[in-house]
Amino acid sequence: MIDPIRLALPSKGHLYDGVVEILKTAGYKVRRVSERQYEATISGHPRFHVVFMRPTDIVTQVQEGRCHLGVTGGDLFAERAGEAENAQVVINDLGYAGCRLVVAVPESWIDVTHLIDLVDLTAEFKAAGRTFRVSTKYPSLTQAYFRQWGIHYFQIIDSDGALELHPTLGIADIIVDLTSSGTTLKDNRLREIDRGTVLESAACLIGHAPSLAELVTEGVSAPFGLLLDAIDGVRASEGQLHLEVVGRLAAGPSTAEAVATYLVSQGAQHLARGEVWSMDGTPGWRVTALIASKKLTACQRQLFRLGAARVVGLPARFVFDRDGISTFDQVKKSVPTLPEVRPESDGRVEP
Amino acid sequence: MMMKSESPIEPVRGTRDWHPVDALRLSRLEAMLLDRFGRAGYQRLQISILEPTELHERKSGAGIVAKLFEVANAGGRVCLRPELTAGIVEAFTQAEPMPKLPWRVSQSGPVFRQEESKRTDRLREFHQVGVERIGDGGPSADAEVIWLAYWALAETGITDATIRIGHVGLILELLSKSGLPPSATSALVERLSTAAAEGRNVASMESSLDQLSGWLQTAEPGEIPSQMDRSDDAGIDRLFRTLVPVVTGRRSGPDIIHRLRSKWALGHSLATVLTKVRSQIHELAELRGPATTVLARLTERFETVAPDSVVALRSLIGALGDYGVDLDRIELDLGFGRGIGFYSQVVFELIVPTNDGPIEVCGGGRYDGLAQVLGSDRDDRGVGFAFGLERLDDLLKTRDSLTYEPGEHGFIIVAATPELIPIAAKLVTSMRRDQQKILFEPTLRYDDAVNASDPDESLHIIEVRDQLDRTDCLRVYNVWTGHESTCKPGQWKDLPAGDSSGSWNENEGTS
Repeated sequence: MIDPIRLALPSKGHLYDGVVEILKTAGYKVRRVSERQYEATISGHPRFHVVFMRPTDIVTQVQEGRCHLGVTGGDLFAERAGEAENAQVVINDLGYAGCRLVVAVPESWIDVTHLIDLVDLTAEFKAAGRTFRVSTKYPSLTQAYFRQWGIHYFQIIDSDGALELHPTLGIADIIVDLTSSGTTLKDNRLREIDRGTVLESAACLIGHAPSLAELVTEGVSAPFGLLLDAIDGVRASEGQLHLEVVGRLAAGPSTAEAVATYLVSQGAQHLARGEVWSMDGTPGWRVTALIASKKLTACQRQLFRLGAARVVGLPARFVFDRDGISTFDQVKKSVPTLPEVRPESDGRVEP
Repeated sequence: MMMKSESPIEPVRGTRDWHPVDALRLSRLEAMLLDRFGRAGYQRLQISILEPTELHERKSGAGIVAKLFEVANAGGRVCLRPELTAGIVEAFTQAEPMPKLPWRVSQSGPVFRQEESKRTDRLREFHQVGVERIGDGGPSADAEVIWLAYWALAETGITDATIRIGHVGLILELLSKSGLPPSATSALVERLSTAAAEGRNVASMESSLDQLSGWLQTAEPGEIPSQMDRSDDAGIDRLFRTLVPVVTGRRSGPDIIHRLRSKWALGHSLATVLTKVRSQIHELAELRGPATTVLARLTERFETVAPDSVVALRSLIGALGDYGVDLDRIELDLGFGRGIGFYSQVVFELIVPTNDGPIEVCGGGRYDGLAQVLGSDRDDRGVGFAFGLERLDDLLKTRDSLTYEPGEHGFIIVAATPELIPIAAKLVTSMRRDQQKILFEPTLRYDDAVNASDPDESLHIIEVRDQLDRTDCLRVYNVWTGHESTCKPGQWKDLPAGDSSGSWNENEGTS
């Protein structure tokens, strides 16, 4: 049995903040004494051992099986995925730290608007005996993406610093870099081009494949299964309010239906309605639904117009749906089947 | 608590170890091929595994360049060689004094290619064995090289191979006359080269043509280019300076304007050009089949358009016939773009049928111009091929017709008692001097050695029982026949391999 289950988290920054928040909401509060301590426990879940490291190291440690699970950037994992055969994605988007890896060219290159222009341009460079240079922190992803498009003649400048100045300084012709809003690129007289998005990335949960295969044998009610279910529940509830709208039957027989129809048009899900009685026995109706938090304020006046008497929005913390995504089931399908561990035994597999 | 041991070190993906039996088989196959190349006058050459990256970037097809293993901290850009030809041509351009032409050399060794696929059965380090004939041209040189590949393969026992011959010179000639700008042509050639590496033919260029036209239609040939079209050079320059006050990066303003104009011009003329190129591509793709049939159709359709290529192909097929190659074994495929960009004229492959479909075991072609691209003014003509050794070995293993000999057999020598070990050691040394293959197992008991004996590993087990000058001091067990005999040293020299009788003491009993 894998004990402890070692979970590697980024030691600081937005990758750290986001996962600690998700875990806390899911009921897994990370107890870390100080920012300088690189180990932690999770209250009430003694089988988990949390270690903190740099996001790039997390890929390596999970690949080598020293850590069984890890949270890192999707971009960092994808860049190393070719050589990290034992590491696999468990949840590819934890819902934060989103960014894009894009191809950016100097603004003055008005002849270059589409990735295909680079096919042509790199061939021209080659014919003129010049080397087309591309600065990036993601050489593998860049090379693979360019290859897909038939761009072969270029030299990668693998660099760790700020890349935006490379074209101006003549270090490279173009760059392939992360951006979220595009402002930094623009400030440095660079421009994205059509079909230039190499990768859309967000924080992700990865796991050591052989360890995952072993952990799923413990079943869905063991610590690993419960953790994944809790994270699924939290993700499904993210930004959602549990909405309760009540009204009197006297407002009209079809009021509840009209409210429900309106809520559906506003993107609400999981609608249910029924009859209710107030304390004094007056008959009424109630509609419940899940709705995006940001929608509610804009909706409430219309709900009153349709006959609602009261609208309450409660923050949802977990949403489980019979047809919803089960990460545990997906992991189980993706790993080789090992014999199941029988809960009543002491962990040894019976012949 | 038990200490956790260190995790095992995983082998590098796409590499394999060759254990003795396999290594022996592989090296014999290699030696056999090199021997046949030698009989045709091709002498072995050895070049470095580490090569300048640029050697491949200058000319190799994209399929190769994208797969280079670059070496860090090597001082300058250095890679592990992905194939043998460029290095050999480089060696030719550097050789002093200049070799006599044509220079016929053979070469064998590992090559390295990055494979994108995570499949562990795709080797990233594998062996190639091949030849180059540098410094002359013409169909008779091509024929010698193609015949040599075909004959060497037949010598391994594979006699049902097909020779697939194409002519990339024809494709290049048609493209260059099509009216497409050189950069578009080279992009198309790149695409075809990649497609050919994946087993597709010239028809795969269609999707690239579609992509090209789509790109030019969507890429804003709006108001700026139409103004440019009417302006003179000075006017365009002014317009550009207004539009782009600051030019950053390594390209100059004129570079950018020039490309913008040609892109726009291409957008206008592309429709007609693409239609023409499409129909020619279709025609080429259909020119495929038995040499004699296709040759007739080729002559009829292309003799006036590309007379040199057609005449060369006809002479080549004729010359292969003179070498005794059955013409039914030759397939002409004019849509075959193998290595286009690297090769310049004839290209060929040897294809062998298997239960899992046909596989290619050897490929090559003519690469005139390579020496010049590498900066040399020596004769830049050349033709060659390479076998994939592992692939050929895999193929031979699936066939019963292994014609190369099995492994050698030798002796296992044991001592009857610990006191006799020094005497046995003396015998071992003297037999090894006589070039016998001896496995010395001083502590192994004779009976155990006999019980564990394997005819694939050894032929005789010899037990030293007494001083070497005594009669019957040796007990000898023949692993193949199961016969036991006694003798004394000096008698084994006359023993023919695999024969238990000979001049050994006729004191045989069955064990």
